[in-house]
Amino acid sequence: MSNLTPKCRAAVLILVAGMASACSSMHDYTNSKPENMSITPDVRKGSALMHVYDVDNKCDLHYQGTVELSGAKLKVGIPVSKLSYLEFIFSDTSIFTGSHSTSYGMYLTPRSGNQYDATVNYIDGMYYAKIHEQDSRGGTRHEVQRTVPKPCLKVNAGDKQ
Amino acid sequence: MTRTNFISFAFVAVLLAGCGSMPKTAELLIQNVKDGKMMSEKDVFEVKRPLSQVTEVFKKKADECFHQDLIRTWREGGLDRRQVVAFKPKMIVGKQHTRLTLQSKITEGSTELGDIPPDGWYFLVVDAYPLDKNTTRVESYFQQTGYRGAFTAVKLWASGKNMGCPDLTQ
Repeated sequence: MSNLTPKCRAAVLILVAGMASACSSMHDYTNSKPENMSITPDVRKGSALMHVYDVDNKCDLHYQGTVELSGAKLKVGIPVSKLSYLEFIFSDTSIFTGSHSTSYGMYLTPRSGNQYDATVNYIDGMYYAKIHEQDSRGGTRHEVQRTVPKPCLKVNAGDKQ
Repeated sequence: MTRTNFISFAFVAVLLAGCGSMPKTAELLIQNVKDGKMMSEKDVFEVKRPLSQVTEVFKKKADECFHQDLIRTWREGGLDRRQVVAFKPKMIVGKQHTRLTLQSKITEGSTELGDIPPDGWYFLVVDAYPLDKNTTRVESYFQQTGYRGAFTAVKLWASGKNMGCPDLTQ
């Protein structure tokens, strides 16, 4: 930086400030209580993130924050009895395609007292995100189906994933 | 995606379209493979599962993983560029034969040359036949377009080895 001319230094600073402001739209997710979801990530190459969105009655998404799925098992709280949209982002870089990412989204309305286990894998170019729901009385455990809720059907008609 | 990589993809697409070998139908793709045409290949394998089970897996996973738009972004000449590729999986299910096909079409960002079918060029055709009650033969035909993950995934799904979705950006 010290070798740069004042003009260049200003340009670099503007560029860095621009990048910082562009990135600042993404922030850590602040858990709601209770912490009702445990996530077990297995990311062998590249990286994985989970964006959490609130979904309003028009099916508009409101970004709440991002959880980094870096390897260790973690617990998060997804608001109970409210529709949320969880978007898993899988990113990698390669010689042929440069940096790239793909996403996989799911709607979820957590029920009071129930626990949710998410398994998130990104292995050998295959990604996988599944959520299981455990009944609060320790009863049945089942996979949460990936469905589009009624208010979002129209909105999603042209949006496939 | 870097400019070089994008140009490589565009070059392959133009080359294939120019040679008339970008398949407009599933049958043309299979014929390309049989004729040993450039950038086409085949994978034949058997799985110890009945055809009905293989069909169910293909239906579920194709809908979950292939029904999507792929967005590519890159920077070129100081400008941010964006391209959207739409994928369209289709299934034909019969008693003795199941076919899964996958088509791709650029819907934003650039124009594809040639007489492209409404849902795009065919780049994957998978035929499954019953060999006996519990064995299915799978024949997978692929036109190399950059979405190799789809070709790989079919075998993993049919065998049950990996039920994830392929990263089609790779």
